[in-house]
Amino acid sequence: MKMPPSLVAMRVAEQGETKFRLWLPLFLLWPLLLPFVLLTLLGTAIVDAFRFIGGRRGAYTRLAVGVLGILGETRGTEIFVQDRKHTVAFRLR
Amino acid sequence: MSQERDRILDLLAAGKITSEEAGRLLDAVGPRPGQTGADAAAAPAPAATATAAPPKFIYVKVISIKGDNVNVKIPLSLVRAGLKLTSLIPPSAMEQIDKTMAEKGMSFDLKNLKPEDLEELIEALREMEINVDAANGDNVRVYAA
Repeated sequence: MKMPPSLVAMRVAEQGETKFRLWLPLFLLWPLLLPFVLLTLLGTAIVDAFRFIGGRRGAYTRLAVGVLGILGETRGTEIFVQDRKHTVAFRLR
Repeated sequence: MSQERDRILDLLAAGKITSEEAGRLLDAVGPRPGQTGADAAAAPAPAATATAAPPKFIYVKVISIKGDNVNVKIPLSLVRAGLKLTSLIPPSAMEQIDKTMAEKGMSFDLKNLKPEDLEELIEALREMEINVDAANGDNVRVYAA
């Protein structure tokens, strides 16, 4: 599994003039979210354990890990849309 | 191709687009004949990607003569990660998906899609290129690199 994106950059421009610019350092956000993610994984593991004891296949932990995996794989995504007047650029690094 | 490059440079000179946007548009129309360098390596044209490494990104580039442009770059590893999650779809839902897809003419069983098949599919994407040149000058390119 890759590390999640560390930076998100977004820019909205109108007729070449930047109206909105966002540069969000996600690498500062992830350590803050880490306890929440670990608690979620612990919760899903407990639920899956109970489901397993009940004879059902647990999938919540795999789902949570899969979603985290998808988040990690979004690194490198770039979207750039432009019309005559407006420009929107979005980048995940 | 040369006309498109000239038009982009004219727009840049007129101040209608920024240098960053011009760079993206120039990348989208492809490198000049014999061009080398970091820009060409960052978004190589499909013909120049005859290497052993599997493609990492899928590109969708739309250049409209009216000035509407779209440039999307999606990591192919996102497809791998997404397809791994299909194993979590309940069997009853999977049957319904397969049935609906078969009704629409796509006889495709997601259960039978193995990771090695997916790698083969991604590898084959390197050879794929969709290039649509409309009569009005609009251009759409989809390729993996």
